[in-house]
Amino acid sequence: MVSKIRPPRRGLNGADVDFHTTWGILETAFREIHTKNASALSFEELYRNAYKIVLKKKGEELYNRVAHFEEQWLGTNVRSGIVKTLSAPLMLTDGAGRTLATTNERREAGEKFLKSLKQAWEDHQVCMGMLTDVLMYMDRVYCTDHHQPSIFAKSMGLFRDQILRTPVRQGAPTLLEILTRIILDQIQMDRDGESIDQFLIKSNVYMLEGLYQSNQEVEDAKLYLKPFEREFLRQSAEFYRDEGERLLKESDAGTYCRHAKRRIDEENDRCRSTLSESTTPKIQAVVEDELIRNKMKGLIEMESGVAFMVDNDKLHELSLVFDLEARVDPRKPELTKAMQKIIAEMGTNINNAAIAVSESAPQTELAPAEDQPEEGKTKGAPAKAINQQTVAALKWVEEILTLKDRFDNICKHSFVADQTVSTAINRSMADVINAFSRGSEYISLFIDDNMKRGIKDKSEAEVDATLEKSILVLRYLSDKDIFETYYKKHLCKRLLLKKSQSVEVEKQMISRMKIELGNSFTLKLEAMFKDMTLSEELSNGYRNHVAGMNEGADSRRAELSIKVLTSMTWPLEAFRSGTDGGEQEGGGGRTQIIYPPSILRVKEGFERFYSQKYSGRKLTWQNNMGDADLKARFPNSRHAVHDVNCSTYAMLILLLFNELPTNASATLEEIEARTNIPLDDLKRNLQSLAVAPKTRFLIKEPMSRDINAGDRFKWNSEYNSKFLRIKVGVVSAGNKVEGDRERKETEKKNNDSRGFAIEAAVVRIMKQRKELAHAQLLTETITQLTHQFRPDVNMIKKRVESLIEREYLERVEEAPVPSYRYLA
Amino acid sequence: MASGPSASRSPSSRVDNCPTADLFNALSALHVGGKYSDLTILCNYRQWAVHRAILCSRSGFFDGACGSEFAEADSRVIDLSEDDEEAVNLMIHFYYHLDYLNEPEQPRATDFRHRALSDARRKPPQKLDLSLVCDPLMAVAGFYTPDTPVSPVTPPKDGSESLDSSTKVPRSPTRRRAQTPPLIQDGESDDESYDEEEDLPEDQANLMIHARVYALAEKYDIPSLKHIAKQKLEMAMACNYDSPDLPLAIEEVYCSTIDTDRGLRDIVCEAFRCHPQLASTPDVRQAISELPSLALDLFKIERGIPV
Repeated sequence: MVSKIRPPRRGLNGADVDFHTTWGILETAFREIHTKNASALSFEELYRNAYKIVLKKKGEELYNRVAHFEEQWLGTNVRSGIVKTLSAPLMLTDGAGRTLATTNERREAGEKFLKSLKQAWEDHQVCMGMLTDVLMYMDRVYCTDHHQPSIFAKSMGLFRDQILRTPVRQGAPTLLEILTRIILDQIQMDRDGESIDQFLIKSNVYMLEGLYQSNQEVEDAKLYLKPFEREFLRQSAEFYRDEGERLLKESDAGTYCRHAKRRIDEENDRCRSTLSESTTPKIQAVVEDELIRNKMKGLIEMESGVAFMVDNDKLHELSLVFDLEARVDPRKPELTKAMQKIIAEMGTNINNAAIAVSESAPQTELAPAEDQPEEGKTKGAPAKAINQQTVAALKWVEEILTLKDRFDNICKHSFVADQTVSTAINRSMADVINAFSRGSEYISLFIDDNMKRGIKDKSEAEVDATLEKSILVLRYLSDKDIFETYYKKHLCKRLLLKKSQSVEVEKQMISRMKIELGNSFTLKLEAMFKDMTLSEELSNGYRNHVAGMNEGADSRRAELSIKVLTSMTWPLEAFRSGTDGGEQEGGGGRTQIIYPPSILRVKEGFERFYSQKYSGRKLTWQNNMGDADLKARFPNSRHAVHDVNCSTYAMLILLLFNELPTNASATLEEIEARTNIPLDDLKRNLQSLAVAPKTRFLIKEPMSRDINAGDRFKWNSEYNSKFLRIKVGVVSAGNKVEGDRERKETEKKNNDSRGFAIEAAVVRIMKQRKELAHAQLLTETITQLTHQFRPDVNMIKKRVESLIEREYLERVEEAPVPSYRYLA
Repeated sequence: MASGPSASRSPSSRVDNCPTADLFNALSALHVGGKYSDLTILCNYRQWAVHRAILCSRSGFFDGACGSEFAEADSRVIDLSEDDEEAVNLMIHFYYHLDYLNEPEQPRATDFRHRALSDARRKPPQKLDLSLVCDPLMAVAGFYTPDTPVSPVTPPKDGSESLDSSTKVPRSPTRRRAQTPPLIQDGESDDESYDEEEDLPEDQANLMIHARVYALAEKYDIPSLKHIAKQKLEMAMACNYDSPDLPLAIEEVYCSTIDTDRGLRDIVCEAFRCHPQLASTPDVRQAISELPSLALDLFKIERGIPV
């Protein structure tokens, strides 16, 4: 047991810490540290001294002394060193603040300044790091308890105030301003292609990033952000505004794009290597604004702009334009607008050209029309044989396809198949196609022509491509109901006149349309094919029936091949002559054709056979569409017997002459009276038989082109032909493309059917909704119908009006907006 | 916190299986053997071979000393002679064991596990190392004391191992401390430390030393040590408030840290609150009269003003 009470420990209990002595030790040591002589100092001793001072509640005094010491040190020793490096080239400025020295001089002087500032900053950092270690206890205890910034932060603020914010001399700029100017100057040199010491600038930027505007150290009030970065962005904007304007004047669009892209990359690199990464998005926005956003319109409209690039297939340069605009706006409005304009222009040209071709038709039409009967037979000179309208249609579709291909290609290669742009291009394509009033008809004609001739001798793949093309154009078409009408008409002709090259391909086409346009669209078309198949079965059935009935007893009996067509499915009016369609309206009003007995027997035989099979169905004979195979003997011909194929009417006429004496003649009127063939059809058939040179079985008096009242016809015994088989064509009824009148009629019918479709849609909607506002009803109706056609708003209004009259709907009186109610 | 050192008690199979025990074992070996040491701590005549990685990573002071360009960074010697030797020793002990003054009943590893095994295989120990020998007789004879305040911190779960008779014997912490080897193992140094220990009263409650360790931890910025020291003082105060050590400890508490550091001060005040008779001892009274801030605290307690 030794004494329990020990003497107080040194330095802890008593008030034996003399502040001034202790501070003296510390101050001397700090001086050593700042002059880089710390290696002889004992850290433990300094730490202990600082600790003791704080422990003795002299923390505040110590803190202030240190701050004061730093202030003095920076203000006298450090600043003067830096100011000394401000050499003449940096300070020589004219009135506008522009330096008068050469670039080289400025660069060297600037680097010297930057180096000394960087050195001072780094030294300060290191020294303050050491001081912070020594004064750790003060920071931990005094600064925390008294809410003072750490001595490190404090000294950084002192550096900012003493070094950067103090004017070099009275009335002169501060070092911060000079620093900003020098860095910007150097960056300008870099932009002009001279090499600069990027690392040196970066070090100074680090300094600015490490300093705050106030002692509060708010993150977004860094010295770098406020005075420096703002100035940098302002100056850059100015530079790029000028540069952009100059380039637009001096160079072409492609070069401009390349330059702009390079500038953006450069600025990115600069932020990484010279400035701060945090500036990247800001400077990028500046460059994009100045070089792209504000110049895009000018760039696109340049002489070497987008239109030029499209014209010359400059895909790469287009992609540059695209890349540039994609940077500033994901919707690419300017480029999209430009592309749409170009497409609209090109499309209008195509449309106008097609109209021009079709309108040049009347002059040249007569001659080819004459040749048309031979169209099926004569393969020579097809171009001449094709109707001018068909030429226009083919040309139009091909050109539209080329246009589409071209822009698809641009879109794919230059615009990386961008959704927005390709949508816009598609919309423009649709506009172009729908702006053309004959679009539906021409597409159908295009398919018609291909079905008849185009796909001949083509491989399956080629046929496929052709079909795909038609579907492509069709896809854009908005008036699909009109197209349906035309297609039905054309298909009908192809099927009945056996003009189609391949039923297989026809069916393929239908199934493609089915995919593209839906079931309801192809329903009637498919029904046509079904009728064809059924008819074949019927014909065979009848043949067997006949054979079984009288066992070859009458070998001279005419054979019958029949097509039974469902009346609503087939657009039979297509076959009625276009010139006087009104007169022939309705099958019932038509005059009864007088058949010779041999034919009448067959007809009646089939009617009996048919009514056995399907009782209660009425057959209406479409004589104008039938054809017949005859065996004809001409005494002076090379062949004893010719096989003649002709229309049913022609057959009736020829059979008539069978009954006449050899040299007897009959007038037009007589023939008409004895056959009851409608005058118009009769004329056309007589034209084929008496005027067309290759099938002149009859002699006409007087010999002329047209059939007129009172003309006489007689048997041409002198007929001679080297061909065994002769096909008698009929001057076709109407052209393949409709005449104006016919078109009007189609339109009218179309409008009627559209009216029904609209009424049906309105009733469907109202039945479901019971009550609906006017505007809403309109939009819903339009949405329901768009897959068929683009309904006209006025038409919808009229239909709604008519539905109200017929008491399907009524107006809701008390509704705030005009509304309708469904009346069940 | 005591689970680590207690695990290092049996350096055989358990060490192999438990990574924590393995680490503590290794740290203990580094502490005792000083292998790879790259820093020396001086305190008067004692010195410790320590590791910068272990010290600097947990204390701002040592980091500053070794990391800056001061003399210590170069010489690799830090002189803490101004501090209390014993407290420095405990601080260093803490660095390697995360605790101090909780005495392991079995000798600590002095060598790395793998080395111990391979060495044992290669050759028999050439010299008898007393620190490795458990002698229950000696323990019972020489160092029996009633439960020291250290015991509560040894975890109760050690029951299974306490079958070994030696583990039951609490040793005097000071004896154990003497055997943590100073860097120089020659007789002179040994004697020195031995003398130092003889000074200390054997029945002391360690109040004083905890207060000193606390102050040291505050000075050298080792928060976890500060926390442990506080806990230990609290425990010791609860058990040994009547220790003759108390007045000195109170003085230490009130002088070695700044006034705003309430950690130990609250413990002292609490002791006065629970045992008002404390103030009647003359020694304590004198301490109160010398420490105005303590007097103010006591006044506040008396008046029921929150301290």
